[in-house]
Amino acid sequence: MRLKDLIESLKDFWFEYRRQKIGLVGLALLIFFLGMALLAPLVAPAEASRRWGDLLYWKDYPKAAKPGWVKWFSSKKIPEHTILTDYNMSRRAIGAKLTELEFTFDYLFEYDEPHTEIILKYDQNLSKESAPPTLIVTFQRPDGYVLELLSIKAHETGGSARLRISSEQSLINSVKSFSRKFESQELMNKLGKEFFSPMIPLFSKAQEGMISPELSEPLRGKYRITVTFYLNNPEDVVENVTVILGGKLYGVLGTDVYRRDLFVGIVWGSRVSLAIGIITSVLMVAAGIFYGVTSAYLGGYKDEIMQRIYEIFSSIPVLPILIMIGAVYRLTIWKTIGILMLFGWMGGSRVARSMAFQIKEMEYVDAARAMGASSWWIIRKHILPQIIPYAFASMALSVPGNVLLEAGLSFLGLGDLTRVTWGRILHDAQANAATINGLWWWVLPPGLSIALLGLGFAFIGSALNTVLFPKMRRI
Amino acid sequence: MKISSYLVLRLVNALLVLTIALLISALVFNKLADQQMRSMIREIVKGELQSNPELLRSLQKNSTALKIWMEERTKYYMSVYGLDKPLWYRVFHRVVQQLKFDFGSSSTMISASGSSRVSDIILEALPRTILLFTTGTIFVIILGLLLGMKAAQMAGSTLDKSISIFALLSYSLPMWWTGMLFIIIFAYYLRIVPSGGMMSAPPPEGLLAKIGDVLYHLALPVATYVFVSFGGWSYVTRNVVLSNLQEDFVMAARAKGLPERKVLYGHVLRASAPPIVTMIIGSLLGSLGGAMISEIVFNWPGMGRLYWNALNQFDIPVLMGNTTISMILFLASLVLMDITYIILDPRVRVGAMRVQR
Repeated sequence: MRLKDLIESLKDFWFEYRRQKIGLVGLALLIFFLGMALLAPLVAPAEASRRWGDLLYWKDYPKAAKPGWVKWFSSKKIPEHTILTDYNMSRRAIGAKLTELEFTFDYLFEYDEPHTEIILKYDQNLSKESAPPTLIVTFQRPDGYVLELLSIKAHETGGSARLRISSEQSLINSVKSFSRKFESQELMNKLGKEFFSPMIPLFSKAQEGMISPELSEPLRGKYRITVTFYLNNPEDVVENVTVILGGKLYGVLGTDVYRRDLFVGIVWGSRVSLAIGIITSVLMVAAGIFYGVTSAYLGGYKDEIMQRIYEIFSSIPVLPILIMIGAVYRLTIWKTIGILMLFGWMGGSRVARSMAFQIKEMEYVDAARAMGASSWWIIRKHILPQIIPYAFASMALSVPGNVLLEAGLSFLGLGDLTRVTWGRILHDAQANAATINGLWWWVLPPGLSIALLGLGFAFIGSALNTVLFPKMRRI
Repeated sequence: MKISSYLVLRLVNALLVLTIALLISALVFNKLADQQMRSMIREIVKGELQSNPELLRSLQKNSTALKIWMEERTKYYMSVYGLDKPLWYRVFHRVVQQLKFDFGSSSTMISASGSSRVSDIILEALPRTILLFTTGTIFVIILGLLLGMKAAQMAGSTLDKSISIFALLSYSLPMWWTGMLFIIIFAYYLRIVPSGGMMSAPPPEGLLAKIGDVLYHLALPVATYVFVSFGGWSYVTRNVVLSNLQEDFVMAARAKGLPERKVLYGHVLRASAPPIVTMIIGSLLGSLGGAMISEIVFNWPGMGRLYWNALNQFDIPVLMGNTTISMILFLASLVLMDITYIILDPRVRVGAMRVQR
């Protein structure tokens, strides 16, 4: 076929396909997911996918935060995850060597609920002989009260330091004694012990009920957090000080209980699903068609034997076997594709066989044979061109099944652990009882992605069937 | 070929499939089983030595004698448990054992009644799975047939189109994820059904209350199963019925003045039954995996969850027994479907039938 003819027939095809509404929807879905997979590095580096299971990588994210857009539907103003990097710095020499380095962060708090945690990060570069600096963190509230949250010897070694201030005992003690001045004895006895959560009184009006999640009223206004370092050597450097106020809202899709950004997981996970779905389906259908055509062409007892083999393989349920192999040997996505191929190669071979049988009996094939055409020539020129359109539809239609199989495997925790997949996100959600705790944003997007990706291919396959096999349109 | 010989062929085929599936599982689990048995033998030999103080004393003086004695005993037990035999023999032996329903006893799991016999454990889980999926299937059949007939009657209508689209959607919908979603909606937000399990803890008194409790727990898994499956069913029914509606015998029936209901359910559905039944085979195959994972999501103590638990504990006898029984059930339903096909389609000549399939 010449290039011009090819373009012409593609144009014809597109003219027909364009009129299939579901085909267009399917195409849109496919482009959406392909774009997602291609643009994944723009959303997050590949490291995010590789280190999905490494919780250290995700430690600066909020815990189990809802998606950011929830704020538009919520009657309450829910605190967002806030990272403060703008500070005023002042440097003052106190003694011959002792230097005071002060970073002040101003923050306007306007939410109805308190932040969930405070994290302090900074980089330090200490000269070898100097002792570690002393670190003091103070917290000034809009009502004028000033709390000293922390006063400790800072991180000893150089490099980056990171402190979850809100879980330091000194902060808890300081907030407790502050609350005791205003809070009723009864509530203090009830909530002031192991269930005490210091973040509530920190951001609440100083009055009775301030330590209770239900009774406390938010104190809106300007807060000032001051981080002071007392350096023991004027040459020591502390920089890049960051204060993170943990929120209950984050990003496009929120985070899970391990603080992982679910949007990153969904975007990177699309690569695995697409790869498994497309590669497996293409290989499977190609193998199936080869098998079917061969079987039809050989005919006789050879065909009979091949059909018996087909029947045996096609009634072996794949998932239980995949689960079995996955539990004993660790599966990567390539091994998964291999096993899917091993048990699913006959996809499409039945139809290919019966089509080949029909075509074989045609008069023009007889004519070709009479003119001395070889079997291979007949298969190539007469049989394959008619089967290939069917192959495309069949490939598209077998994608959802393969995507589901991989997702099911990952859901059981038996998938590829070197990267994030949609099934794996759902596995973690199930393992942490996300369903019965109502963490819908953890469960909904991965499953919806699986379903929509499958739906896209099902739509495309169904539209292809209608366009390429007009006979079926009646049905 | 006669129908009886065709059936025999199908049965032989089923047996072959069963053997192959068992061979694969025996091969996969062989490594694990070996490790387990070796450590068991080590324990036995050690125990033997400990329980025989005289022998222990005499052997402790001489370290080479102890070594030789240990090796001898280990060798003895290796031959008792067949570990000295080649790989193919052991795999083959295990498959034959399974085919003879000789499941043995489990390595760690026990049934609720305290038995560690694999057959007891499986017999406990099996009825629960059957209960769940037959209940679901009955609903799916009724709903699927009714909706499919309706859609075929009103081909091109909104109902028809939405059923087609819903069928494609449910084709790519993971059953287990739908289950998770339903748990969030119906168990967490609406709180009208429990989130999992088969009975409340503690179970209520009295038989009637107990049945009610099980039904209450059954509702959500069955609803999930039906939700995911009925779309495909109605779509298949619709397609088959629609192609039959254009046949001459329908026109003849209508011309005779038969009421439309009788035409549809008496004539068209009768003629459409065989292909519909054939289609189920595919959907059965497809939903098996999803159904298995769904049991885990709903914490339903059936065969799927048993398989999963056994896998987590590497309880190989239970895994093998479970595979055998599940495969037999599955293959039996395939054969049953074939028989139904023959009964439903009086025209059946096996040769013609094979082309249709």
